[in-house]
Amino acid sequence: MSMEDTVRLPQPAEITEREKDDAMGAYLMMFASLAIGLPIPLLNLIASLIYFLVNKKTSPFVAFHALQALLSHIPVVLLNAGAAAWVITNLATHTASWAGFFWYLFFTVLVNLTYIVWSIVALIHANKGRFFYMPVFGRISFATYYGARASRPAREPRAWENKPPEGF
Amino acid sequence: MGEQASGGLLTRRSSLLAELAILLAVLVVLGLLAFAAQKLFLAPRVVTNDVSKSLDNALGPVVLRQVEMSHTVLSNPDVDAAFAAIMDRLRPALGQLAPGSPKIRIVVIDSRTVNAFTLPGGIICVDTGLMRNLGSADQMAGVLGHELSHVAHRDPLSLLARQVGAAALAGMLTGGRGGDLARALAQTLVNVRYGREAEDRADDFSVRLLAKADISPLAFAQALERIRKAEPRDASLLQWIDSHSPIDERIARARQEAAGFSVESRRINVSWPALIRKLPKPEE
Repeated sequence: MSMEDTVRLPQPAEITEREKDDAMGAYLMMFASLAIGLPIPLLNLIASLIYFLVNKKTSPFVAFHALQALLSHIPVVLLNAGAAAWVITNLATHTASWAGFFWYLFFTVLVNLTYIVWSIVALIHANKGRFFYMPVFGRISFATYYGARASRPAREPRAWENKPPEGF
Repeated sequence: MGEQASGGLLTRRSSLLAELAILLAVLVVLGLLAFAAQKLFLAPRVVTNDVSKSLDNALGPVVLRQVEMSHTVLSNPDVDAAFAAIMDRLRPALGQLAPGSPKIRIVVIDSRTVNAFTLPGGIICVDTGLMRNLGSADQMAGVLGHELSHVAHRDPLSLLARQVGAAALAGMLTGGRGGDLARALAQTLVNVRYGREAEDRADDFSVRLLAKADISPLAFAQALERIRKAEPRDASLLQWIDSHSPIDERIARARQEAAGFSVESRRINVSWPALIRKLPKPEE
């Protein structure tokens, strides 16, 4: 692989305000759809998907954050959908079981809270033009838009410097 | 200029696996937290309310049949009339203190044992040995009040659920090796103490129930005192107050509790000594 093939990650100063806003918007969009779509959790996943498809063309930086926001949203939405389905089927049929429901409900609430905190951290980084990698989701998103061609800075940065996840 | 990166998503699997492990660990921790929260705040209610009244009602007759097979159930119109009179006084108060309690059925067992116990589904068993040691229908009402607390709070079912698990209960009701299990459950319920918390709650409940039913709230403490004095030749017969339970403490508590009520009490219209004379002679 020659040096021409490598991609240098854009540093915060090189990223436009528009890109920063759009990247941050991906996480805000998740919050909004989470709040609005609580009764029908799968619908807000579609809203998130549309945001991602529209904004991924702006720049790889925005696409990375939008994909990370979308991917990390999926398990949370599935958990919420499970809770909603449990309640609806139980109320509709009267025969289903509540055994374990409260464990599941508390678990879902805790996962949602963790997800929100993690997303706020990511949102702040995105707003400053930084890459922030959530476990697994960050890695997959990075591989999708930069991958192994991204170059790693040679020296330890003095201030924040965008770099690939460990292992790339 | 940066140095050449050497890996990718798939070529550096270990990093991805490490992150997956972190995510998994976070989920496990959250799951355990949720479990702890659920146990802390909701578990007792989930067991007693969600295992459902139907299980309670289905289990009662099964266990009662087992008790009937191993004990002599007394069928005596005078005794039945006496307990009906006591329950007529207690029932409205029970409805106020514990709405939704099941229909109560009292079964009298001819036995020298000083005992009373509650089966699932609102069945209360009273030994004639206990009846002989009480001095009045009011005192009997005090003992029944204690047992009614176990009924209202579904203590028998909670206990069984804790001991054998809902799966065994369900299996027993749907067939399988039900007979053996029913025998074991009956034995458990006859000799049970539900633990300090439930017993104290039952004592308090009885005093409140008596006061609400316009019966002297002291009657419960008096019943405990009569049972303490019983001193049967065979101490193992004194089952209702397990020898390890601090009976003096319970009496003091019941008296203190009763002092908090000012009740214009009316005695239950049953001549207890006359009733006891009508009981069959105890077998030696």
